[in-house]
Amino acid sequence: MNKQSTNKLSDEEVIRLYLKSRNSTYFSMLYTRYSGKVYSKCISLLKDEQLSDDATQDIFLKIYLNLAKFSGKSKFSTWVYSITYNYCIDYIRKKKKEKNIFSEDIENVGEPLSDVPDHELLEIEVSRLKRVMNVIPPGDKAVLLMKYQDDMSIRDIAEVLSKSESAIKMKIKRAKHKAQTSYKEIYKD
Amino acid sequence: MSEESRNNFKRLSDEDPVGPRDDKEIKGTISFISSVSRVIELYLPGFFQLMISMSGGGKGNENKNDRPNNVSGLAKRDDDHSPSEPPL
Repeated sequence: MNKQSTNKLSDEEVIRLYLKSRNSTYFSMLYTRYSGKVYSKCISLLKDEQLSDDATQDIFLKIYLNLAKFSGKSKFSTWVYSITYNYCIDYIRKKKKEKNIFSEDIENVGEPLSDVPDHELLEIEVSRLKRVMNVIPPGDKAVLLMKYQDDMSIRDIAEVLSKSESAIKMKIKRAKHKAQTSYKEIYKD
Repeated sequence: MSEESRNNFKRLSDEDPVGPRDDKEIKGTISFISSVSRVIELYLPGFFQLMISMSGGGKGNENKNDRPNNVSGLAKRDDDHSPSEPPL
């Protein structure tokens, strides 16, 4: 099979061919397609280039060892991103010893929050959004990226974070609120 | 992708740095991943087997019970006195 025709293969077809032949060329294709995206997610959560390089390698090792278990129920990209977020959040919790992963770990959870309409967040100018995302807690950032950047379903996010779907809905609501208040604090004028 | 579904969160990822992913690096990483996974696949089951044996389970116990008959037979004979040997 030549390079041009293999490039047209879907992720699922590449996985099937890899599992059948155990030819590392097919795994290299998956690595080429996703390593950049995995790396950029790692760097946005871990904020360290060397750490993100190592994390990308560890994540692909996990993918390599578990590829046979990929059931195809969700998209391959969703599966890859799930492993990535899981790895990064776990790393922040255990190695960086940060307990305040989500804003609810810091702020008063009893306080009722107003619902922030999606368009208010989605229309924030890119450079400003980037700045806002860098000041909110990593867990809040992760749930917002999962929902709005990777289009992951509530169920998928719940699986990644090992929480109930209702807990995830609440985490998203809080994360949106945190992003909005941070935006207003940074850009008062 | 439609303009509507391409929200600013998705545009954010366009601005993210993408790691150095040249052919040489990909080959290096893939060979590293295959070597490590080969080591894991080859030695991890053996390691677990060793741990199980050390804790007294698994094949170790089976071996004890499966000792060939002649082993106990010989031991028994050593304790016995043959007719040609004088009793101690």
